[in-house]
Amino acid sequence: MTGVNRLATGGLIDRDKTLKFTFNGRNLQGVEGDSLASALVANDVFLTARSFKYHRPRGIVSCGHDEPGTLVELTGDLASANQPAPTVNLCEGLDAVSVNCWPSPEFDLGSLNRLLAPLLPAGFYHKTFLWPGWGTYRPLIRRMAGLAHAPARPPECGRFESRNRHCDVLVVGAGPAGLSAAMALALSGADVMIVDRGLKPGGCLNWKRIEIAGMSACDWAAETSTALAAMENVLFLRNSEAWAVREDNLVLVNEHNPQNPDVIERNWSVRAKFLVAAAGAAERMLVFPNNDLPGTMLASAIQCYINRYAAKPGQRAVLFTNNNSAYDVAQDMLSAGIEVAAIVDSRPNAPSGLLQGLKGMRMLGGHEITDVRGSRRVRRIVARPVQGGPGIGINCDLLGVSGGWDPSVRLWSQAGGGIEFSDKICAFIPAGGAGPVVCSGAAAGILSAPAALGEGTKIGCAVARMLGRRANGASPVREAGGGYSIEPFWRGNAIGRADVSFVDMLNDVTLADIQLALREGFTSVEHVKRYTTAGMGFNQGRTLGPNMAGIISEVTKRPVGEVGVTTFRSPTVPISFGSIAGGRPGPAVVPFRNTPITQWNIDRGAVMYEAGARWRRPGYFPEAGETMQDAVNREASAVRNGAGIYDGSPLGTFAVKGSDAGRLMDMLFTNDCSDLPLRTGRYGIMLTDDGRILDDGVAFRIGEHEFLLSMSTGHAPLVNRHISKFLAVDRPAWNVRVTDLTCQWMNATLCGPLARDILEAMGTDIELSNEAFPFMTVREGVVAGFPARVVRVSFTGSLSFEINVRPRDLRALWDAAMQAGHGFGIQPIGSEANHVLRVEKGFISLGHEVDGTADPHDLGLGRLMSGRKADFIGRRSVELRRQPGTPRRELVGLLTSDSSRLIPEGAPITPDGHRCASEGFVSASVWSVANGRSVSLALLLDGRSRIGETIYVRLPKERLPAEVVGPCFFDQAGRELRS
Amino acid sequence: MGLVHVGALPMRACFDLKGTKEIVESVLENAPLPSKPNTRSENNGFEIHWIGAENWMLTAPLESENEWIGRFSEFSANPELLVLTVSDLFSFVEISGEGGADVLASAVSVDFLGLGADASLFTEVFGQKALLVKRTHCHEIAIENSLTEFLLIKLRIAAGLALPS
Repeated sequence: MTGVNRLATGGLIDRDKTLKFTFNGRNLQGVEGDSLASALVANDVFLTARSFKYHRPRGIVSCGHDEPGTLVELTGDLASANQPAPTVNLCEGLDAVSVNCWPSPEFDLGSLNRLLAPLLPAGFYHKTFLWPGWGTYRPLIRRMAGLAHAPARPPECGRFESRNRHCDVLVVGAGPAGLSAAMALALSGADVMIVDRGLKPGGCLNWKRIEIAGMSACDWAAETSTALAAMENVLFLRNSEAWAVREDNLVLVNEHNPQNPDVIERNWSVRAKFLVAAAGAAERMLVFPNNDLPGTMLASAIQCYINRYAAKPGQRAVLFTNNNSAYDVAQDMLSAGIEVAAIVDSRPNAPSGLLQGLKGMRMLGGHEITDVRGSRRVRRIVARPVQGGPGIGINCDLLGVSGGWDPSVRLWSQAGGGIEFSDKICAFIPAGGAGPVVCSGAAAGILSAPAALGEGTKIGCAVARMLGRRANGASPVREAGGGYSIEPFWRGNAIGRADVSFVDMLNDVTLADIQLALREGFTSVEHVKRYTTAGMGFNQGRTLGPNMAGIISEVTKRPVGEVGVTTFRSPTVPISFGSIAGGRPGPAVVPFRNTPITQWNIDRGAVMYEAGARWRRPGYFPEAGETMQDAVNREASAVRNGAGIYDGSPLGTFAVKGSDAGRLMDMLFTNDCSDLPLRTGRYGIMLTDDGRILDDGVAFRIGEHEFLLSMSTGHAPLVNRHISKFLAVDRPAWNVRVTDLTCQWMNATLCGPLARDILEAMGTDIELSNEAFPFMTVREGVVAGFPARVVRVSFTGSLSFEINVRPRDLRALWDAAMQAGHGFGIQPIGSEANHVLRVEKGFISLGHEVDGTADPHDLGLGRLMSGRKADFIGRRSVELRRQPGTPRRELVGLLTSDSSRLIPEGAPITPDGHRCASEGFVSASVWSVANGRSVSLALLLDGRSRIGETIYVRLPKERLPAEVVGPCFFDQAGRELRS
Repeated sequence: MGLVHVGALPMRACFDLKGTKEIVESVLENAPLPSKPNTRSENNGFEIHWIGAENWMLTAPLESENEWIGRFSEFSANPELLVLTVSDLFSFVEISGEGGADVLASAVSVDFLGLGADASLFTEVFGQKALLVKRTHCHEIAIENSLTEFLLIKLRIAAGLALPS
């Protein structure tokens, strides 16, 4: 036996396959085909959770994603938080615990909150925790908020994955409308993708007792979905949910447990020419006192548990409704052996045809339920005439509620479709158009399954024809009579019970909360939502429907349609972060780029990190027993006194060619470039349109109409975009073409006074003397047997040769350099030593001195702002900004009184070190091997006129005096790099 | 997912050609250029890929690289044409096998299944700029060589293959 409430026959379950599971530590059994919720129903477990705020007892309310009552936390391999119990497929060994209760739902210490309920109305935290301050209470409230715990570790039983898919039509929902539309489309030959949230397609057909094409609805659904899945032009995803619609009909779909056992969830980005939204409708709850007591269920859920899962949710039931659909449920309850004590219908005159087959049933027309009694489960209800009158008590252990049906318009709305209120079905339905998106079936407000079948076929054929395909299809069933009618019943009339009449069960929002919000002036549905939290959270107000709008409408005297609904945001259902992130475990979390020397650096023990544009570069090369500072000092010292070598491959390299190449260079750089002699180069600065420094670098002329640019590593992609945009938008007629060659030419840079000797020792046909190969020139030739382009630039302030070769040759060239340099004491240099060397020299660096506000004048590079050119990018902006003549922060050097003190980079400089507005900041501070002391660079207000002055750096516990000096601490005349 | 093979391919001679169709055709001695965007033309021993407006990429066996360099050198002074050797700029990776399409569906957002047999297009692979080439029994990805290791790891993860230790 798999539960005391399991029916002997019926249901889409396999009674022969029992599954053991635990719930709150209790050992239970279900069967194959069960959900966790149905297994709990079958086992007569009704107190399954505690509510979010008041810790009230809660049970299972629905049979799907809209579950507002029972969220569970799964442990073990399936570890995940806040799963609605009806969506958890039962499997052997499943271990689930209720959320938000301790130690158990039966005895929950948090239920003490109920005593405080009068103090916790909507927005209580805005009103209550004013003294001594919100910060005092925040930690406690944050700890109390939330539901389940996030899993401590990522799941180990598989991975997450992302996948793209293109198709003609995406059909969301495999209920009656979705299946019939998909079949019509598939038969037309269209490329169809079907997404259904259920493990078993068919939606409500799995529990509706209707006949289609001579067979039961569930058999028809199974047969149709099997046929569809077997078609080559169809991709059928089960257990999947479309959770967002983005621009250009991009639909995001989350697939749980795909067929690949290694994959936990897969997120699909589907680009469909058409989207058929057939996700059905959700039944809504009615608002009346104690409507959250365990044993209170949506009527459709009762029908589902009986017919699909063969689980009987109670022995004696009362149904409370304002529409026709609950009457079908009454018939199914009777068939399952549930005594239906009464049907309470708020309508005074329910259609008489509904009572066919329910002869002798106690009907309370024009009544409402004014109380539900019981401590942990429904024991009795009290019904009274809607117009007032004496109450009638009825004993029962199950209360089925149907407040009407709300079409699933979320995807439609996200696609830009309009929403309007239908008086006919008392719900918001799609209106107008949403481009290539159509709603079908219940999602379009057609609330009869037979009608939805026919309408789905029509929609499928129509979409197929729009795709240029021939399509004919007939509905598999003739429309049954009857139809659907409803009268609004937005809230109960029980006076004084608004505080226990739940509008949004998930968030513990009561009728009293909504009324309070309205009294306090929040009359917009969006404001009421934010003030009360109604409609937020996991089920996004699915069981709430337009009840809130109806209540607002009553108070504000506006039509419900005018009150409207809140925005349907994505995700429409909870999505795991793993699914959104996709396959990014281990080393591929973010992209990374290597040079041919990366592995050599790693093998040499370099401390590696990203150095802009995703390049992995060595920070420094510690030797045995060395601290980081020791290693940096050794490397910097090698460059100043001997020789170093660094891998400069990541520097952005661009080829520029065309008859307008010179004009382009003059526009890009602030200084003149078009007059560069052949095989010479010039340092320059690029500005953005608004006059900020975009990047600095060097430009070499290598042909009459051809230049080579070497820009900084981190900004190379930006520079590429900047140039491309300028040519495409501002000067499309110019004859000039640019190619990013960063990875075609990679370089090993020899630097230091012995660099020339090492290069000679490597063997080259290039004349290396300073006269033949002066600073800022380029030569082509052979180095160590490899074709090379050697450039004399220096980013360290010492003599340097940048040897550019093809990447395929770089490793061999590097080895040759290390071998040739061995006798000269060559040292590999990391980014940290480079940083020291450039600070000693006073060279600017992006992210340090180039902070997004400085212009070339501020950095002492005003000489690079050409006055001879007609124009260059950013010139006017710089001039405009400087026009007022107000003092600006200028680049200076700083020497601390204590020569061993380094200053934290970014530290503010304030007048006399007081706590007041800063007059600058320290942009870099290093230990200088050339000076044997610390040196710093800073941007200081009116800095150049303050040289010799003592300023104060404001640190957390002290003020540090420093002398303002010029921003160059090594070889001010530039003899070394020109040697 | 069916079997998948992910592997690096040998280097090829690659040249980036920028210029008008007429000029590029003349340089290539009237070898046919791709007739439309995102396609390639196959010639005797080399291929020309359309990779942008007035931008083509020629690929050929690496052994012929010097021969091509020699052929293009005579046009180096022509300001209307920019020909650059980019053999080292790109690494080629092949994805084949029954599950190759599924792996590619993780990597690229374009509708590669809907492409013709001569498709070559610059797109993004795992968010990085790359050339996607459709072959009869496989797909090739040409990516900037600095990203090769990253791409191979991503492809292996998508294919469910073990990562190199």
